[in-house]
Amino acid sequence: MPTPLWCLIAVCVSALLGLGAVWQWGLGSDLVAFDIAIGFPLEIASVVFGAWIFGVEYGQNTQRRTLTADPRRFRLFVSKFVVALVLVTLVTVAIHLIALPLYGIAADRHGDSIAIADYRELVLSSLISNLAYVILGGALVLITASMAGGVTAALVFIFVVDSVLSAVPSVGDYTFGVALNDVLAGIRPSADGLFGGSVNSTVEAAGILTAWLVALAGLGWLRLWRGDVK
Amino acid sequence: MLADFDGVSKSFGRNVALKGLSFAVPEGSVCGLLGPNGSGKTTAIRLLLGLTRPDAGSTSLLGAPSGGRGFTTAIRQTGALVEGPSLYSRASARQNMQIQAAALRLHRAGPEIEDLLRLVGLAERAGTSAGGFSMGMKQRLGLAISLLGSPRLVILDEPTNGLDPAGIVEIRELISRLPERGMTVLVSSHLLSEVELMCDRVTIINRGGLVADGTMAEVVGSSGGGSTWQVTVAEHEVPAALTCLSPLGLAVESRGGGLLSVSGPVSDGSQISCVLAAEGIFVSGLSQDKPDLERVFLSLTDGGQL
Repeated sequence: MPTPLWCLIAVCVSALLGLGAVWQWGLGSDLVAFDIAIGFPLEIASVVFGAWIFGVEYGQNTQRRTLTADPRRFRLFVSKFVVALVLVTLVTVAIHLIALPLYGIAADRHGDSIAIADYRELVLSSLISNLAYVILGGALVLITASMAGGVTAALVFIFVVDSVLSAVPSVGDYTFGVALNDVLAGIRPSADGLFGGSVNSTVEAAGILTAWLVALAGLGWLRLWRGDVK
Repeated sequence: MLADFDGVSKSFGRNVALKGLSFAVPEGSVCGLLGPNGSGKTTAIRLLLGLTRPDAGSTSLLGAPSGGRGFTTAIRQTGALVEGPSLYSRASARQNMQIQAAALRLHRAGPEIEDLLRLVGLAERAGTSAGGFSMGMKQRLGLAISLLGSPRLVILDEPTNGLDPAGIVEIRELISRLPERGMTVLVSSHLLSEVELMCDRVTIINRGGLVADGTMAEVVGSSGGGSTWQVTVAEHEVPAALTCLSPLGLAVESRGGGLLSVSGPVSDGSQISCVLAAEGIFVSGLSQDKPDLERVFLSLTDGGQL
């Protein structure tokens, strides 16, 4: 089965488990059930999907075939990222739209309700986060020129390098994860980020996050542009 | 010239893959690119297709410098099968061809796809996932993909890899007929006999450099020294035969059992038999060892060693 389908199945299974938990125990504070059951799995799926959309060419050695039909590497780079961003946007919005009424019904058993404004914030923050992670996954595959290498590098970057750096005073305010959390906190003040907040404003954090994404995608582009195609 | 190498050099770290390689593929030819393993054949093809960049020199495809102006148009008129077929394993044979047709912006390519699948003998497996194909079937599909859009130049890297003997003959005949469809072919292969049968030009490279280039007749004829004759006489007459042939400027060597190997400027075997008959030595066997591509290849590439 193709990787994107596995990602979708994993997200759906997680969402269903979350739905069961909400049915049994209620929604929890600050829509935390959504974050755990849908938000986090979607972030991981975004990393994997971003890695896959570029990595599938390395894994099957089809990049040389693609580039011998149309050698414009920048066109390939842009079109793959556009497809990844559009698909992640559609899937994120669709899954939340499907989950909202179902989770609402389950939460209603415990007298919990979901405010539309809260939900809007949740969807928007999930979307921003997923778009950042899909770019991260794609960029690291391009940098490593390997599907497996890219996924591993992305997970190590997120859970090891970035989390360690975020604990370093001063430097930590400028890491990818902290900048993303600051941006998400600006959209959804009630949410607790994985790495905590920083002294930066939302606008500053958005700038830092953009710089990270541009730098990573830029390095990925350089590798694709200058590298030998296997 | 549809493909041109001009002083191309390429290294990978300390490994020198190509050293000042220059040769060209004229339109309408089937050109064989030969060389021992690691001699730089695939690197040369990859440079031509813009998949890697030269350290020095330049390549051009259909007159457009690789990676430069006009290269996109040129590569769309070039079909390539490099280092084995690269296929989307979950897609069927037909879908793989449709993907390539879309990449080449070929509209309404359906009939051509079916024709090509028939041509390479995959029409009945067109709906099967390429991942389940044997190596030979993948190779056939890769060849069909490379012919999509009737390219002016077809570049094939070891196209008969994984094929059974019948398949090799079939693909050889198919490649030989491509010039009739207006296609020029550059084919690299280890099967020298196949190259000799299907190519009208041959380029031999060794250790990244050019060692021979020309028409098949020119390259095969370049082995020099004329031809070699195998002469059989009665075993007790060998010393006398050696005595009478050696003064004629021929290199004569006894191989035992009355067999003599005679090399030199002899155009007709009757010259040898006449000389021997004049001395009362009668020839019981006479055959000519014509130079072939394999012999030329081995002599030019130090026995095919790197």
